[in-house]
Amino acid sequence: MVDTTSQNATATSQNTRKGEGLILNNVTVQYRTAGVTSTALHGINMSVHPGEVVGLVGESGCGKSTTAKAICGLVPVTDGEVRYEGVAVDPLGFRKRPKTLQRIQMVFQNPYASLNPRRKIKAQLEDARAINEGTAPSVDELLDLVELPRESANLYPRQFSGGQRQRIAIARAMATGPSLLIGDEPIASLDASLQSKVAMLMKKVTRESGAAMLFISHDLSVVRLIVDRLYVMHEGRIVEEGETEEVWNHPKNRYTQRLLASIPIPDGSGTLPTVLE
Amino acid sequence: MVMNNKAMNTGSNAGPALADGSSSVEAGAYGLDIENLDMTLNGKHLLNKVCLHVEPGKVTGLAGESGSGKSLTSLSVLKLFPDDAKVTGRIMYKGRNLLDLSEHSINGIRGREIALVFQDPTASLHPMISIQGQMTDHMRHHLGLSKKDAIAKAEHLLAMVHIPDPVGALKKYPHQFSGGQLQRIAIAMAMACDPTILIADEPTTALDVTVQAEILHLLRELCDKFGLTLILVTHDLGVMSALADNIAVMKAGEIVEYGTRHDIITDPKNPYTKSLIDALPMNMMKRGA
Amino acid sequence: MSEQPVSGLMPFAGLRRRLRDNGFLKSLRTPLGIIGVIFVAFWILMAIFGPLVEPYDPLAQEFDRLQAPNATNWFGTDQVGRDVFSRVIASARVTIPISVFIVVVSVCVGSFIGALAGYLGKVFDEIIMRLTDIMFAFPSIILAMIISATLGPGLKNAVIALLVVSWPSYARIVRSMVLTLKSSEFVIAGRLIGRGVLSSLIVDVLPNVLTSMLVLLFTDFGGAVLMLSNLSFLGLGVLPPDPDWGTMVQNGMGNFSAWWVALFPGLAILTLVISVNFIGDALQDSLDLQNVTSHA
Repeated sequence: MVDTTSQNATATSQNTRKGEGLILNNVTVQYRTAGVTSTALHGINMSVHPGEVVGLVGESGCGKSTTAKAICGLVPVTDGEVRYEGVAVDPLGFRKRPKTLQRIQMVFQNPYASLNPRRKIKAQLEDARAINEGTAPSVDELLDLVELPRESANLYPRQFSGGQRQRIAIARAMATGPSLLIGDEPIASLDASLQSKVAMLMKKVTRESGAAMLFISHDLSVVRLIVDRLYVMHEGRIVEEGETEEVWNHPKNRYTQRLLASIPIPDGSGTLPTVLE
Repeated sequence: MVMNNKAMNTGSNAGPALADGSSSVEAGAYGLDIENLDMTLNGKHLLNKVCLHVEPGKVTGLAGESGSGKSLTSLSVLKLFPDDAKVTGRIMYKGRNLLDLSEHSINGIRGREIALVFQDPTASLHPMISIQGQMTDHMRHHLGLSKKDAIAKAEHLLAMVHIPDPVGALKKYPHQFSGGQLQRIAIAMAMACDPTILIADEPTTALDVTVQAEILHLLRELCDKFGLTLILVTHDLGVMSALADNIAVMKAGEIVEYGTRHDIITDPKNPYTKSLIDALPMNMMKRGA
Repeated sequence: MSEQPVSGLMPFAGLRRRLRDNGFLKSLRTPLGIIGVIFVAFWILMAIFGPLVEPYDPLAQEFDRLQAPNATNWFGTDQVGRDVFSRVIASARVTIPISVFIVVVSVCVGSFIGALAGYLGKVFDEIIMRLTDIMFAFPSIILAMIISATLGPGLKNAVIALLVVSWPSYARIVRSMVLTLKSSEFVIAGRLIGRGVLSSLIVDVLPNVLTSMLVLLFTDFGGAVLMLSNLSFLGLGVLPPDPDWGTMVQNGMGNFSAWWVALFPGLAILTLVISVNFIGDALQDSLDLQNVTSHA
C-alpha cells in the first residue's frame, strides 16, 4: 500500500515545475505592538531547493517561527522578498492562496490545535486531497503512509494521542501533494521517544514523494538525523549554514559552538554539558 | 543501606535512629524510602505499588513519558495530590511515614526540609510581587527571620545561584528576568530553608538548551556543596545522564526498571527502557538511520 | 472515494449528532434543568395548541367586568369583561414566536458581522466595534424605546427596535471567539490548503462557536421576552386589544384591587423567562465542564 502511495506521489512530483524552489532574499520582518517596533528577522537569506531536506535550528525567540510564517504568507514581510517557484509570497488576505503557493504545506507544533476538533479525520483529509493537482493518494493510503490504522478515518481528533494527531497532520499536508513541506517545531510537543520517530517519518514521506522539506526545530540532535543541510539562527540572523555533518563536527560560528556544547549526551557517563561563554 | 561519603563522615545515616535528630544540613544527608505507594483517583489506578529507595546525598532520577506517574510519585512525597485520591503505602523520611503526617506537620516539612522546583518558573513566581517580597516572606514565615536578616539571606542565596547583582535583582519583578534567570531564582527560593531533599520536576524542560546546560551545572554544584538529596523528574534522558546517579524508569504508574545511571542507559534490561534508549537521536544515528 | 461537498449548511448538518456526542442533552438532567424543560415545553405546547385550550375568545367582551377567579373564568376577567385565562394563553402565541424570531435573527446577524470583524480585522473591525460601542453607550431598553417611539407604536416596529439593539452583543462575543480561533493552527492549516476567508469561516471557525452560541440563544431568549413585554407594557409593542402579557400587566396596574388581572400574565412571564434561563445555565455548566475536561 505504501508502494502505491509513493508511486502516486512520485507522479505528482513529476508535474512539478523544476524551478528554483524556495528563496528568501534579504527578508526583514518587524512587528509593531503598542507603537514599539521590534525586529524579528534581520535581512535573512535562505534557500530550499526542490527535493532537498533542510534544517533551521535556533533557540526560542530567535525568529525561526517567524521565518516559517513569512514563507507561508502569514506575516507581512517588511523588507526583502520570499519567492517560491518564481511566485512572490504575499500576505494571505481575503482571497484564496495562489495555486503554486498551495504546494507549500506546513506541519505545526501543537498537535492539539492543528486539527479541527469538530470534523472527522476523513473529512479533513478529503479537504486536503481536493487541491492535489496530481493523483491524490486515497485516505486509506494516506493513513497507511503515516502508519495509522485505516479505521482512524471515521474518528474525531480528540480520540487520538498527541503523536497520532501529529501523524494525521502530516497525512493532511501530504494529501495536498506538496512540493515543499514546512515543519514548524513539529516534534517539540511530543514525548521524547516519539520525537525521532515522527521526524524520521516526515523525512520518509517527503523523500518518497520527491518533495522538499524545511524542518524547523530547537533540537539539533534530532534535526541532525534527517537533514542534508542546515541553517543556524540566532537573534533574527542566520549565523551559520552548511552541510549537516560539517556543522555538527566543525562549527565555525561562536554561537553554534555554544549550542552544540550545551547538548547533553545521553551516554550514561554523568558528564555535564559544557557551558561556553 | 548505601551511605554517601558525607553521611559516613558524620557517622549518621537516614535510618530511624536519627528520627528525632535536628534538620540541620551538616548532620548529614537524608534519603527517602517509598514503599508500595499505590494511588487511585476516580477509579483510575494512577500509581501501582511504587517502591523507590532515594539514596541520601545522591541524585535519583525518575524517567518516563507523559502520564507515566513520575511527577505524581515525586509530588506524593509532599502529599501534594488531590484530596479524593486513595493512597496506600508508606513514604519513610527520618523514620516517619510522611503520608501519616497531619496537614500541619507536613507543612513544616514542605518547602523547609523538602523543597520543590517546578518546570515553569514564570508560573511558580507571582508576577506582581518583587523578588524580594517573594523570597523574604517565605523565609520569615518558615525561619522566623527579621526583615533585615531575611533580605541579607536572600542576597546571599541569589549570589549562590549566580544571579548577577543580587542587591539590584531583589528590587525587580519576575517579568524583568529571562526564563533561565527565573529558574535560578526559583532554585534559590527552594534552597532558602536549607532543605535536605530537593525535588526538581522537569526543571529544564521549559528552557533553551544553552540555558539548560547552565541550570544543570548549578544543580550539580548545589548537590556537591550541600550534600543535597535530589529527586530529578524528567523525560529527557540526556539531562538524566548528565545529572542522575540512579535512575528509575516509570511506565503507566509502575517502576519498570531501576538501576545506576550507567546500567540503565548503556545496558537496559526492560524492553520499555530499551525502546526509550533506542529512540534517542544519538542511537538512531548509530543504527544508520 | 466520494468527495464530501463543502456546503454552507455543513455546520448545522452534524449539530444534532454533535449535541448527542457531547452529552449536551444529558446535561439537562439536573433538577433545575428538568423544571426548565417542563415549563418551556408547556409554553411551547400552549403557543401551538392554544386555540384548542382557550375556553373563550380572548377578544370577546362577554363577561362581567373584573370578576375574581371562579369556576367559569379560572383567572377572572379584566376591566372590559374579557377572560384573563384565554388572554394569557393567546398571548403566548405572539410573545414566544416573536421572541424566538428576535433572538435567532439577531444571533445570526450579530454572529456574522462579528465573525467577519474578527476574521478580517483592521478597518472593518474598527468600524464595527465603534458602532457597537455607540450602541452599548445607551441602556438597551431606553434605546429600544426611543427607536420604537420614533417609528411609531406597533409590533413590527417593536421587533425592528429590538433587533437593532440586540445584535451588537452577539457581534462582540463572536468576534472575540473568532479572534482566538483564527490564529488556531487548524484554521491556518485550512487557509494553507486553499480556503478563502468565507469558506474558512464556515467550515473551520463557525462550527467551533456554534455550541456556545446555542447556549447564548437560550440564555438570551428570556431577555427578549422581557424586552418585548416591556415595550408592550409601555404601549410601544403589541397594541390593544390584542392580548399580550406586557399590556395585560399594564392594565392590571390600573386596578390594584383586581390583583388577578396583572398577576397571571406576570406569572406567565416569570415562569417562561426563569425556566429558559435554567436550561441555559444547565447547558452553560456542561459547556464549561467540557472546556475544562478537553483542555486537561
